[in-house]
Amino acid sequence: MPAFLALAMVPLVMPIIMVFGQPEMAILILLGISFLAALTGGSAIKGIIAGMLGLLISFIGYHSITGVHRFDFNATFLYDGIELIPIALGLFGLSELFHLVMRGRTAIAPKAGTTRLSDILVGVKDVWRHRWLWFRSTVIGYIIGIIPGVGAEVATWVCYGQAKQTSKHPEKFGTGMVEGVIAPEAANNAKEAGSLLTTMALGIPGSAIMALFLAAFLMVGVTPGPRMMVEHLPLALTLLLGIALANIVGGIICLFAAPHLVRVASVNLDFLFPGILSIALVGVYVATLSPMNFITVLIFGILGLLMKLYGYSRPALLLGFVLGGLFENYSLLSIKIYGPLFFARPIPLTLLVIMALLLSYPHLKRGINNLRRRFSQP
Amino acid sequence: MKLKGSFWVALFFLALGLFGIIQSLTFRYWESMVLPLGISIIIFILAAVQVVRELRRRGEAAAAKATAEDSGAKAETRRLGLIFGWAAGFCLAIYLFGFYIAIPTFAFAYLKWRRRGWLVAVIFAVGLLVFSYAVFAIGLKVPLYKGLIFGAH
Repeated sequence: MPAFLALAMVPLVMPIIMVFGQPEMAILILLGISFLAALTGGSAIKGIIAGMLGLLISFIGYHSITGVHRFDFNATFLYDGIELIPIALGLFGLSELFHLVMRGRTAIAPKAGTTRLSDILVGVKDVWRHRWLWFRSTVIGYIIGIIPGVGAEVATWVCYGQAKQTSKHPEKFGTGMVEGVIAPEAANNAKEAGSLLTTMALGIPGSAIMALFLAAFLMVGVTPGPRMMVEHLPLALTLLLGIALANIVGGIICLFAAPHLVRVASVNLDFLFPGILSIALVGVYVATLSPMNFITVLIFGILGLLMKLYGYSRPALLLGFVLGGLFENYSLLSIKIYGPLFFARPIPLTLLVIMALLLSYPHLKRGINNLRRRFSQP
Repeated sequence: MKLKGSFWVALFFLALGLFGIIQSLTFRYWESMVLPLGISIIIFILAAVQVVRELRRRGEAAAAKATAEDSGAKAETRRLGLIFGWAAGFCLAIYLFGFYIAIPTFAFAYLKWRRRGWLVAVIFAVGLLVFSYAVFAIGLKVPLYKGLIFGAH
C-alpha cells in the first residue's frame, strides 16, 4: 500500500522539484546531511562533524576539473578516491562486529532461537485481528518516511505511541502486547516507500539504507534528484512498484525462513568473528579488485566503532561521502554562474533557515522551557 | 585527572580539521581549494567546541570514584585491542599470502587461541575457505587474490 501512496504522490511532487537549479540542489544536499546529522547522532555538533568529514573524504583523489591531487599522499590507489563499498562495509559491518566482540556477547541469548512455524501463524492472525491499527501505522509510517532524515526510529516510536493511545489496554504495553509490535513494524515497512520517493525526487536519502540506494543509482549513472523524475520516470515508478513486491516476497520468505534465520544471531562469537571478517574482506576484494582496500575497510571499521561508541552519526558520514561529488559540482557551478553569494535566492535561503532551525531546535526548546519555568514560578 | 575516550575522539577530529586546512591551502586552484578548505574549517571549529565540552565534563567524571564499570570498560578495551590486532594481522596475511592461505590459517589460529578443539578448528577453517571459494570464485566467477608472494591474481 505505501508504494501505491508513493506512486500517487509523484504528480504532486513534480511541479515543486522542477524549480530546483544548481544553487538549490547544493543547499538541499547540505540540508539532507543536516537532517541525518541532527536526528541520527548523539548531538547536532557531532552529527555535523560526521557529515562534513564524509564530504571531506569524498574529495580524496584527483580533482576532475583542475587536475589537482587532493589528500592522496601520492598513493596511487587513492588517485581515484576511496570506493563506497569498503567505507560502507567498514562503517556499518566491521564496526558492529568489533562492537559485538568488544562486549563479548552475541546479538541475542543462545536459547532465543527456538521459534516454530505455528508461532508465526499466530502472528499472521494477530495482524488480521488488528488490521485497522496496521492500516493507520502504515499511513503514518509512510508520511514520516517522506520527511528526509527522520528515519525508522521516529516512525516506529510515533506509531508505538498511537497504538498505545488507541489501545483498550494501554497499561499492558511493555509486557508483550502484540499491538506494540504490529504498529512499529508496519511503520518500519511503510516508511521505506516514502523515503524512496524523497531519495529519488530530491536526492535526499532518509536513512543509511537509502544513502546506499542513492550510491547505487550514482554507480549506474543515474543521478537522483529532480532530473531523475523527468529523465528516468519509468525507472522511478518501477522502483516504487519494486518496493511493494519486495514487501510481499520478503514477507513470504520470512514466514518460512524466520525460525532458521534467527539462529544466526545466536552463533558463538568465536565463529562469528573469523567467519564474518573473512567473508567481508573477500567481498571487498571481489567488489573492488584492489587488495589495498583491506586497509580502507579496517580504518573505517575502527572509525565506525569509535563513532558508534561516542555518538557520532555514521549515516551522516556516509551520506556526506556519497553526495560529496555532486555537492562540489553544484557548488562550483553555482559560484561560477551566480557568484559567491549564490545562496542568496529565495529557495536556498528558505532551506538554510530550515537547516538553522533544525540544528538549533534542541537549544531553542531548552530556552523556551527555561522561560516557561521562570514565568510559571510565583 | 583522567580523560575519557570521547575527549580523544573529539581531539582526533580537531587534528583532522587542522590537517584538512593545512593541506587545502597547498592546492593550486581556487576550484580545488574552496570546498575542502571551508569544510575543514567547519570541522575544526565544531571539533574545538566539542573538545571544550569534553574538558568541562572531565571535572564531573573525575569527581566520580572508580567503579566496577571502569574495570569492565578496561577489559572491553583490552579485548578490542586484541581484536584489532587479529583483524590487522589477517589483512596483512591476505596481502602477503592471499586468501587461500590466509583464511584457513587465520580461522584455525583464532579458534585455537579461543581454546577450541583441534577438530572443530580444522573443520571450521576448511569450511570457511570452501564456502568463500564456492560463493565468490565459482558463483561470482571472480578469482580470489593470491597474495604478493604467490603472485597477484
